[in-house]
Amino acid sequence: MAIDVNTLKNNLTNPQRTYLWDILIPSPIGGGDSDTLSVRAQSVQKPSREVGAIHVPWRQSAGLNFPGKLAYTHQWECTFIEGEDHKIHDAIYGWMQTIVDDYDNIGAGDDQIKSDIYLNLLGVNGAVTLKIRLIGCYVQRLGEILFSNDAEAIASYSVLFSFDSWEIVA
Amino acid sequence: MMGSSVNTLANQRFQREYLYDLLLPDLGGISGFDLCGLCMDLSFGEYGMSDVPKTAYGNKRRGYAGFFQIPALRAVFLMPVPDIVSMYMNQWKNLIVDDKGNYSPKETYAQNAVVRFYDRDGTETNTFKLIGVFPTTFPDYGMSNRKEGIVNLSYEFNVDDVTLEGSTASGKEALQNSLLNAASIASIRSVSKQERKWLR
Repeated sequence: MAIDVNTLKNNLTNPQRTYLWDILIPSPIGGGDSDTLSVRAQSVQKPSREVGAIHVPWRQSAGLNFPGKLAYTHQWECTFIEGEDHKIHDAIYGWMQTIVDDYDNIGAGDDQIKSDIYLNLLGVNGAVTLKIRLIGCYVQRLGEILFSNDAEAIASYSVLFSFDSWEIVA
Repeated sequence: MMGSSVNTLANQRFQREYLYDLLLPDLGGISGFDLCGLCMDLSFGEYGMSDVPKTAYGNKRRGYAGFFQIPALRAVFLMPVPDIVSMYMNQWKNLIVDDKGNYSPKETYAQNAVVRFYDRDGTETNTFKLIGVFPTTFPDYGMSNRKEGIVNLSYEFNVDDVTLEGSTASGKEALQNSLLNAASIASIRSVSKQERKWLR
């Protein structure tokens, strides 16, 4: 039987909206405000995962692939809107200063600069449909902002987090 | 027509080079198991003839069995903080020779180690017992302001002998299945002496 649009309609009653999500950083390192980071997050990605391929060539065939190691990008990017209160800058800068202080060039221990980040996908009724925990995050890069008289725009930061792994919590 | 097809390979399970454990003995209050997860690279080998005596025979040559040599066990560890790897290896070194330069009998410092190979599902496939192991070379510390990395600690160990303690039931079963599979497609592959031993 051919699949018609009603089959899709019955199968996919509520597609996941790309704009229904929020993030939670329960314990930002360096004294950042968790609520501000959550509210001002503008765009994120659901992290990817892949399994490596071990290629075995064989005679004149195309060869075979066998699964290798589990692999993550280990990088997760989030864009935050900045306010005149520069709370995003303060939070991220404080985190990075804990990793390596730019004055005395001393950093906290590796086990003290990582925190988990939660990415919640939401349904149209506001319920959490998928909760993702990024484990062992630290700030790898605080992006630059272009200030220009040519444009009408709001300042936003692209922040690159490094993570160890991720899992579905619920 | 060739004796086997690429499907012969597709039905096999292959040992991954990263699925292994090096189990060292406990020394001086430090568990050898604590070093297990820090071992990033490992190599060891069986006895073999590195040099074969030869005689000329007309326009041919003849080789004869010579002395057997066994390669050193080489292991590279990540250096943790605090550095339990160096502490552990220095304890071992002190068993060989003390601060006053007195050497101990071999039974004091020669230990056994175990290398385990694993399949992807976590089952043990091969267990090698390394006999008479003790460290012979200690790391050169490669520190640099130009790089961004973790310090690696490389060691070489003497090994007197290596014995294959055997593979697990699943490993034997897999081997048997692969051999039966190979036979069923009339493979030209011959069964090695070691495989015959396992099948008995």
